[in-house]
Amino acid sequence: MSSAPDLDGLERLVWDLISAPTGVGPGAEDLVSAGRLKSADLSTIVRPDDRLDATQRLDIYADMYFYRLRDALAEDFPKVRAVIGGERFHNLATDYLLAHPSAHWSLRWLGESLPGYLDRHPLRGEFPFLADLARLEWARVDVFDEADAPPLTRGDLTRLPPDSIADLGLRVIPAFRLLTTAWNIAPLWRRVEDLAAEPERHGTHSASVETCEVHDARPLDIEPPPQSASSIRVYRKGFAVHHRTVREDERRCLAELAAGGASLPRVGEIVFDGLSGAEEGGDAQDPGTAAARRVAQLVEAWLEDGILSSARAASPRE
Amino acid sequence: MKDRPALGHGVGLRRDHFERVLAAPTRVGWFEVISENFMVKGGRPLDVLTRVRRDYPVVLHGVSLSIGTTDPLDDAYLARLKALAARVEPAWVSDHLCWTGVGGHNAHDLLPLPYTEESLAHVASRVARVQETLGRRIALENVSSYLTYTASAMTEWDFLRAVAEKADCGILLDVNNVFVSAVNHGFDPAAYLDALPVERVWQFHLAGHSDHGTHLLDTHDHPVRDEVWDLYRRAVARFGAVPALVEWDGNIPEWDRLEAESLRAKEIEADVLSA
Repeated sequence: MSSAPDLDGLERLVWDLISAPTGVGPGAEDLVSAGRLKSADLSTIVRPDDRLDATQRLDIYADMYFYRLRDALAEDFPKVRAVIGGERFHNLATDYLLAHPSAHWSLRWLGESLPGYLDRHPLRGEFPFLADLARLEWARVDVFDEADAPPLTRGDLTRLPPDSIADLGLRVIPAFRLLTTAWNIAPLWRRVEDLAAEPERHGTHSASVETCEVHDARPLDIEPPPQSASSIRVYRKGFAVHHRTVREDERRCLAELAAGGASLPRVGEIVFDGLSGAEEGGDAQDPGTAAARRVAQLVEAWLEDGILSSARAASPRE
Repeated sequence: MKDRPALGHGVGLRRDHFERVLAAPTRVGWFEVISENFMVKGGRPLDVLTRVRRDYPVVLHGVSLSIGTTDPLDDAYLARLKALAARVEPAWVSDHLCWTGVGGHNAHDLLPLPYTEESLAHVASRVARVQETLGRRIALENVSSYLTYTASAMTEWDFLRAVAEKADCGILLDVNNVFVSAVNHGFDPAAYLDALPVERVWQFHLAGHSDHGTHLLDTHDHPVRDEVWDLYRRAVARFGAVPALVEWDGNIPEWDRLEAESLRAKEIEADVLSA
C-alpha cells in the first residue's frame, strides 16, 4: 500500500482502525501483518502533535464508535443487560459488533440480529433463555415505530349490518408481533422490569455521544424462567408498547390474522378445533357454546387492546 | 439569503421535552430534529413531530447522509428523507460535511474528511445529486474533529467554503465545532469565521463540549461555554441575524434551562446587532 492512499483507501483504512476490537494500535499491527500497511506508525496518515500521537487521535474515534453502538444496544435490550450485568453485556456487544457491524443508516436497526446471535453465543450456557428475552425486547422495539393504523373498535362493529359481520375480514394492526419462545419469558421480563425500574423506552436515538453506565451495572440476582414454550403477542396501543402471553387457541387465531387475515367464523373454527382437541375439563358446556364464549372473550380482548384492523374499518365512515 | 425564513432562535427537539413542548407555548422560535429519528413508519416520535410542526417551523438535521463516503449514495435513504421533508415541510434540510462509514458499514459517527481536491470533487458531485434528488438545496455543517490527515492540502475552512461554492449549497456553521476543532488542531477560530462567505451561512449551531485535557470533545452535554459565546458574538457580527440553534443531547436539562440557553443566544444577537 502506498503511503498516500486515495480517499477510498484512506476511509477503508480509518474504518478498519477505529473498528478494530482491540484498539487502534493492535489494529494497525494486524493491518501490517495483512500487508495493508507498511508500518504501524500511523503518523504517515494522521498528524501527531505534542498532545496526542496519531494512534491516540484515532483511538478517540475508536472509543466513540464502540461506546455509541454499545449504548444503543443497551437502550434496546435493557432487560438482557440487566440480567447478565454490565461487564458481560459490554463483552457481548464487542462480540456482536464484530459479527454484525452496523450496515444501516439508522441505529434503530443495530440490534436486529442480536436475538439470533444469542442462540449461538457462549452466554447461552449460563443464560439459555437470553435469546428469547432478546426476542421479546426486539419485538417491542419493532412495534414502537411501526406504521400507524386505526384499530377496529366496538363502534365499528356495531355500525355494521348484522349479516355482514361474518364476512368482515379481520387483520391485526401493523404494530403487532406474535412470538413463540422456548422459555416462558414474559414473567421474567416483568420481574426484571420491577427490579430494575427501567425507564420506558422512548425509541429515538440521540446524535451525540452519550456516556452510559452500561459497563458498571451488576447482574440481577434473578431466577431463570421455566423452560416451557410460550406465545406472546406484542402490540402497540396508541403509542404505548405492551405484550401479553397467549394460550394456544389465541396463538393460532392471531397467526392467521397476522398472516393475511381471517373472518370471524374462521376464528370460531380455530377455537372450536382447539376445544375439541383439548382434554375434557370441568366445564359442562357443549363445545359449540364454549367456543362461542371463547371467541367473544378473545374478540373483546383484541378490541380492548386495539390490535384488530379491517379494510372496512380503515375506510372513511359512511 | 432572502429565500429562507428568518427563524430566530431555536433548540434541538429531544424526547425529554416532548411533553413540555406539546403542553404549552414556549419562548423558542423553532425546532431542529434529527431526521433519522423520524424516518420511521409511525409511532409516537412521528406524531409528536407532526404536532410540533403545527406550531413551529422545523429544520431537518441529518446525521447519516455520509456525503463524503466513497460508498454509493443510499437511494433508499434519500427517498425516506425526501418523504419526511414532504411531510414536515422543513425550513431547510441539513447534514454534515463528513463520512460516517464505508464498505457498507456505518460507524454512526461524523468522521472528518481529508481536505484534498479529490475529496472536494467527490463531495461536490454528491451534494449536487442529493440536491437534485431532494429537489432542494441543503446545508452542510462543519464537524468537530480530533485528527488531521497528513493528506490534507488545504484548511478546513477553505475546504468548507470550496464545497459550498462548488456544490452551491448552504453552510450550517457550528460555532462550538469551530472552537473545539480550533483547540484540538491549534488554529485561530476567528480566521475560520472570517474565511467563510456570508451569503452561504444559513444557520448557526451552539452547544456545550467537554475538556479531556489533551483535547476537547463535542459532547453536547454541557451549557455553551463562555469561549463559544464569545465566538458566537463574532459570528453574529460577521454573518448577521442568522437562525441559531442550541443543541443539548446528553445530561439533558429541564426545559426552562434549555430555553434559557436559546434566549441567551437571542440576547447576544440583539446586543451585537445594536452595537
